[in-house]
Amino acid sequence: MSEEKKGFVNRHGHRADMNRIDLSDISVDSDGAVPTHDSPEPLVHPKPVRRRRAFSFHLSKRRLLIIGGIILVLLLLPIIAGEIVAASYRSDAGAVSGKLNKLVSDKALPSQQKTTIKLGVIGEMATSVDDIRSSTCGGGLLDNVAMLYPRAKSAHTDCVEKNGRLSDLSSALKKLEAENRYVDSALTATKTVTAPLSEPYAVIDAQQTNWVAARDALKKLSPPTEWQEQHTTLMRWVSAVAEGWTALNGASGLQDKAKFESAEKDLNAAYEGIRSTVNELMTTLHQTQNTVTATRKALQ
Amino acid sequence: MMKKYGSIFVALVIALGIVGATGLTIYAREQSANTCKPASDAFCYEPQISSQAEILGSVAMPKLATPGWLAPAQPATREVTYTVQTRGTVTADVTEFKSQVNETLNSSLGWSRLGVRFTPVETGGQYTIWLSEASQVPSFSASGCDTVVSCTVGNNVIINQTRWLNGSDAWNAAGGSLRDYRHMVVNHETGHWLGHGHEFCSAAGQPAPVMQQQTINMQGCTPNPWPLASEMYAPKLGIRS
Repeated sequence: MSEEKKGFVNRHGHRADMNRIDLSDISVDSDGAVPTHDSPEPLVHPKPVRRRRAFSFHLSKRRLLIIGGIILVLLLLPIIAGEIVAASYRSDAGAVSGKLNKLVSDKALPSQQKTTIKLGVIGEMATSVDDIRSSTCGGGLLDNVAMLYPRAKSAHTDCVEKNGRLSDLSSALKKLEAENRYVDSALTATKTVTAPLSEPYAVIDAQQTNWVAARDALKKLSPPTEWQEQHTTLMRWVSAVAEGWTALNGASGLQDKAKFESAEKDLNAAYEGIRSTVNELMTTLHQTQNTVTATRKALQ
Repeated sequence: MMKKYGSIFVALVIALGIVGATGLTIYAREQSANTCKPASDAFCYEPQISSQAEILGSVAMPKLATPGWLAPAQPATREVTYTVQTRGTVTADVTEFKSQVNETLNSSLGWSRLGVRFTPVETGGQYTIWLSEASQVPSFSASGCDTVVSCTVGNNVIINQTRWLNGSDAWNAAGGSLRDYRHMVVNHETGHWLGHGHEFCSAAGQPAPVMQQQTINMQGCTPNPWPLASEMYAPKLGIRS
């Protein structure tokens, strides 16, 4: 038997040895049975009856209260969140009227009092309406949250509806702005021919030059989509007037009475054509204004 | 009788009522055409844009000065007599002078469009057309006439011989012909006798009124020997425009 010492130092600083003992010399078969008990009769201990213990979970009253509270909070949390979301949408929708009224009183009404409209003013109104729209009804994740709670969903639907009306108002204002820009450009292009004559009689040469220039300037305009057809018609009549003056000038040079009178007749018809086309443009303008007014009223 | 006038009165009242009602209807339509009121309605820009568009929407054929060659001649309803005489040393062809004066006065482009026929008589005409040596022109009126241009004094229409033979610098420079100058000077001075004063060029490039002093300055107008339609009146003859 040999012993091999091994050990370690415990955390208290004491050395603890571990001995390995060689037991190879010992034969189990050579020795008799070793009595396991001193008593002549082995004691037979009755096998203990396993009692099935009832599951019991003992919680203190305090813990119970805490857990109950947590459960209550967990149950109420979605409702509270839903109510917050609903309130947010309701607040957004409610604020729209106030913001719009401020825009109207601070910017729109003062700009309407002037005789002529400054170019871009209507566009600024549309941008302001867009700003109000983009700050209304959250969007993104909040919209998804709103779908989970009926009251929030209803508030969200109302808010989105209001947002849509703001979008309609903005679109109508942008359309009005485009129409205003076209009218302004058309007036600039025809300035020399729409200005009152400084002399009692028109000069054929000058009229011819001015109308040809007006026609060329009008050609360069890009009308709003809804005015494309009228613009084409207007171009046709303006061209007819330019050609009429050219014909009149030619007839005057030739002292050709028949041609002169024919050119005068054509010119009168072409002027009438311009007036009629502008009337059509004004009808469309009237419709656009109607849309603006109606969408604004729907937001009140 | 009373019954008759009474029914006329009732008819008149009804007619006026209809007119009034129509007027009101039109007015109401105009009112309803306004979409919005800028003073109170938000984003109400239609009136401003419409007023701009209306400038283009009200273009109309401007008034044209009817060229003399285009104005219809009036049928002759009255006669004016004139006599031709000369003063000073006249080198121009007097027969040609007489002929061209008559041609001018009775041209369908000239004062005859007033409905007047000009008849030359040897003596006792309603007015006298003189072909005068330039130096003699002031003898008709020292204050109203000079040696450079022609003039009219009372019933005397004086044509300056130098102008008759040469035209004027202003006229020639504007491209006018001598024949047209002669038409112009006869028409211009006869115009004074008919009661016209001087006119001015209405705009550059326009035919000059015949009563403009085209001998002196064209004022940007083109040479025109004939009276414009706007000049077709004669106070002396009681003919109004």
